[in-house]
Amino acid sequence: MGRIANLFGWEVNEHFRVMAVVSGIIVVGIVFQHSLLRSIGEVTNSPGDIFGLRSMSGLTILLSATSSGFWITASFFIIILVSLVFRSGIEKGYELTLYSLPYSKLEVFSVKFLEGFTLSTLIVLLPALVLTFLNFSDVPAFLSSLARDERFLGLLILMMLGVLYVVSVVTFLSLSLRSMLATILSAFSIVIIPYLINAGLPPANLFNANVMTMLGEKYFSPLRLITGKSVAIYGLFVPAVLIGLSAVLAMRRDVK
Amino acid sequence: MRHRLVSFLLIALAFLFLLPPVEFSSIHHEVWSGGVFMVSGKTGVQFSSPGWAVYNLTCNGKMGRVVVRDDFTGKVLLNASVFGHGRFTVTLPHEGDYSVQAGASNTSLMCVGQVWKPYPTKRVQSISYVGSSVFIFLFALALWRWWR
Repeated sequence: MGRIANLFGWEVNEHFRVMAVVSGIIVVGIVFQHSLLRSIGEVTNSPGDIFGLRSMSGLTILLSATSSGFWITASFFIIILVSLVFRSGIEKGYELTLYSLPYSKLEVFSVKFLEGFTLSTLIVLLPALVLTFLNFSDVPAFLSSLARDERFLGLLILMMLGVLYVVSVVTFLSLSLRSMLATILSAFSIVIIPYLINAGLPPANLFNANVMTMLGEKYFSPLRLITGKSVAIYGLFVPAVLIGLSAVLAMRRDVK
Repeated sequence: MRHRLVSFLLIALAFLFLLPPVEFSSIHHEVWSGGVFMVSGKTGVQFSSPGWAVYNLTCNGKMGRVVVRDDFTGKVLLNASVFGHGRFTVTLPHEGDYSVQAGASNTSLMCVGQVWKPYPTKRVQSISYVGSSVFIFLFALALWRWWR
């Protein structure tokens, strides 16, 4: 095993992070499954011709995966997880041991960020994919039409960008603030309030009406989704800036 | 313990696989009313059902045919004529999309449909229970091999 993989394995198997991931997967799964169980309909001129994500069953998946309840619950666990990743070692005092190992500060930071992003993606995508497969296991034709649908790929990309935004915000806060409690409190306000007030602020407006219409349109390409205004700015540009700032912070400051 | 994340992901998967039957028990008294729609020419309605359910369809109009079709398999579930008034009960065989359309020669019919009391289909239940048991077993195996 390489030395980076060794550090990654050690970081990933820490008790409290595993606990946050496992409980997050189960709770997010309950929310997703509950909103999947409903019936919706639409009056159309060509009933019975729509498949993939644009069909009514696909629409229940789209609505459940972008609902504010789903994302508030997922954000809760992602915030706890990422602030544990960056701050628990510092609070308990064993982070000095980690930094005395032969790894550069940038290596430690990138491993920690990669770990936070991977585990957070797991919290969001594992329940969504497993429960989608499970709920429609009696109609394999629908599952295969979903797998061939570019819109479903677009939805997965969108969900990963939502995770990336939350993870980068919490990373920046946990490196710039001096305590884990302050990180969690401020991250909660920044990430969750946009879902509660309808002001078109970042994590919530990745799933706004424009993006949803784009997923429902007849002609769709993932490239157009990513280069759309709100997704390009808040899904790619802002996280990139925050990650860059956090890397600078992590390299410059003392480990304490 | 080695491979802690992998072992505990197994038990998370076991719980995830149990979720559909558990959550169905909390919604299986529910009724979704679809509202009034017109069945004429090419116009109709496409709706989804979360599971095995009963569909109640009531149609009013002069005369015509009404067709309920299973969209994902293409099977026709109901093809009946309406003279003035008709009430039909259709069993939706599994989760997925269904559509209500007009038959070949139709004057317009006004219809209303409701999806009643869904239940997980047999295959969903067996995959859920078998999958959950397999992941619990794998978790036990992981504990036994990797503990200390």
